Amino acid sequence: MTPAPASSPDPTGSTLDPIQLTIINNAFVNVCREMGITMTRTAFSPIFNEGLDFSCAMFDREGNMIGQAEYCPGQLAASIFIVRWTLQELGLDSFEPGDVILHNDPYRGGNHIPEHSVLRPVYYDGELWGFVANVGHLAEIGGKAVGSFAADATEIFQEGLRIPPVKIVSRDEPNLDLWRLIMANHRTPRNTWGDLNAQIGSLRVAERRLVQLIDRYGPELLTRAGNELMDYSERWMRTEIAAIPDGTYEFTDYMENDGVVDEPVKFHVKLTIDGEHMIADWTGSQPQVRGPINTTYAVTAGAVYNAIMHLTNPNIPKNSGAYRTIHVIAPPGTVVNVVYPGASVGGNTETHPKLFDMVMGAMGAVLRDKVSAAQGASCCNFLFGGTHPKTQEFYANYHLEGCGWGAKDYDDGNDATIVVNGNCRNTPVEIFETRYPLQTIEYSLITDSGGAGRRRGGLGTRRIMRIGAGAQITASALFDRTKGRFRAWGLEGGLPGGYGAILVKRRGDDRFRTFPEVFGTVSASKFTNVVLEEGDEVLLDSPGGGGFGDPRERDRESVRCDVEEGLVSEDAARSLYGWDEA
Amino acid sequence: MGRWEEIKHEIWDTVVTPCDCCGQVVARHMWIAEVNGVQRQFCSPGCEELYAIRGHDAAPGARFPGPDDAGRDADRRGQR
Repeated sequence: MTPAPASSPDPTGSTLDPIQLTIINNAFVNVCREMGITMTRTAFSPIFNEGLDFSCAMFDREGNMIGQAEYCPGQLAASIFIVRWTLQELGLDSFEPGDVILHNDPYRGGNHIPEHSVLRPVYYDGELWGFVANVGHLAEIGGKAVGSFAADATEIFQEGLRIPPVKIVSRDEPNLDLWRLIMANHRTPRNTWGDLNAQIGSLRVAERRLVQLIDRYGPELLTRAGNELMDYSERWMRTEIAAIPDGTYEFTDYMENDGVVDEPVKFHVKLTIDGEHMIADWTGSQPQVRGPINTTYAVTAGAVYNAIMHLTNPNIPKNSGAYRTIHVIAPPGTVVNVVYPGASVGGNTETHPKLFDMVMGAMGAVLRDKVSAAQGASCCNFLFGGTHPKTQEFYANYHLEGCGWGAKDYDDGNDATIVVNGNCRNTPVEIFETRYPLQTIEYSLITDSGGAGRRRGGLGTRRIMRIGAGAQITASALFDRTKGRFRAWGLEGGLPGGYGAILVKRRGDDRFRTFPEVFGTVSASKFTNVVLEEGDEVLLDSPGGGGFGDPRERDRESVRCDVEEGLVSEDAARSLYGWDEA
Repeated sequence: MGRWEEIKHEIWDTVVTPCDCCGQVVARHMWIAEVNGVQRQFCSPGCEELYAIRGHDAAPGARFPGPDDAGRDADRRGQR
């Protein structure tokens, strides 16, 4: 696809030359990157300084995103709605220099309640120029489950402390009454203090850099550059969508259950390509469910944006202009647009990747060379906390695993990679064991978990952890793709990926068993607040990705390498790939 | 023919208003219009148009104002 270059005749009458525009675009991105680096160096929790479960972006004074750094696609999409709706709700008149707004309300643009957004206005010569924002997943925010990820929650009140847009800092003075209220409702308040202050501090760095940019270019030129960059992205995206054949493309998929009622959950999407426009209509998805796998509007829209970004030119500048021609319909009160007081904490981690896959599946009819088979699509959320036997301090951690990604026509799927909306990093075993009383006994790729295909699906992982000496932990889990027909589907004859699982072996036992067998939980994949003791072991298997194409068409050298590296067993190589070497 | 209305939030109004067409939050100003004899609330005139053109029906379970909600919604629209 050849984009409309910035130097082409410009219907907006731009006078900025393309080189200057590119330099300013890169400067916007770098402001956001530096915000993120500040965050990793100052946050208290591994979820930020190791996992990178946060995102940084900047906005003009109308609330349009004009720059972002390469963090979590899901959070970046949500920030578009969070900032726009917050500005509309509060009004620009309510802001003053040095203010910071805090917000984690899923019904107001958030992805799910653990993600806290901070937003700071940037003034120049007394005039509001724009905003800088940071969205981060706090590892503990209260609610019924340690780690604030209650897999059996039926209302938002069980998921943690909900905060509508409020000023946590007013004219650079912290609102300590609000801070005290938050601290009193989180299980690990010292970490909340450190992590939220890291987010707020990153905004100050971004503000300083942005003011330096305005010093250099002037406020009017920089505003015009932001507008032109958005128009440029819009033109480019219109060109990309126009290249897709007009038509309606539909896809239906299911999740195994909602964590409360053990029945499949149905999702449906109808994508309409009409010239330069795309409409993603999720009507036909089932009513909102009781458990927490409902998505917010931002999650559903973000999944569509995310998939489209994977299907179009990766060089389109990522700003609000790129999304103007994509329209998302998510009927309120359905599983793709939760309404108050419905639960939604798992909608971001478990449902977003499946909605992404559905867009891929629908577009496969006309973009077979670009789409991917289904991914493992579960963060394999494992939450735990307790009193650390060495420090006597209460700790809590939100742990997520990488899974296998779906294969494409041109490549195998990624192994052991955090879901497509996350872009997070794996927390190293050494960090894990230093901070928490758990030992990692095994961490490996699961042989044969990648769906067989001409291109093989990515492999899932196995992690076995043992509860350390003197420790007792309270654990919760929210997994998916663990049974039946809910594995990651393949495309064009590719086979599905392997199952996910969470199992437990009590101290002295000789085998792993399911949590319903040992603890009587209703669900084997979604449960809350199980107490594990010293010597108990937990096994986490993440699901593999689907394969692409007939496995018997996979080139023989790749099959041989897979067998040699232990990614595919000899039995599977023979039975699925038709491999006949010794 | 629709009209813009400002949503007036009381301190106890903790629930946001979704657009009847796309489902996005209507944070401050909603577009009120009658479609097929039923009053609807939208985020913009564009969504009213889309709703009318596509004959869009709410998905099963979509929660639109019912008889019990009339007072609350009238409050939010500043009509009482």
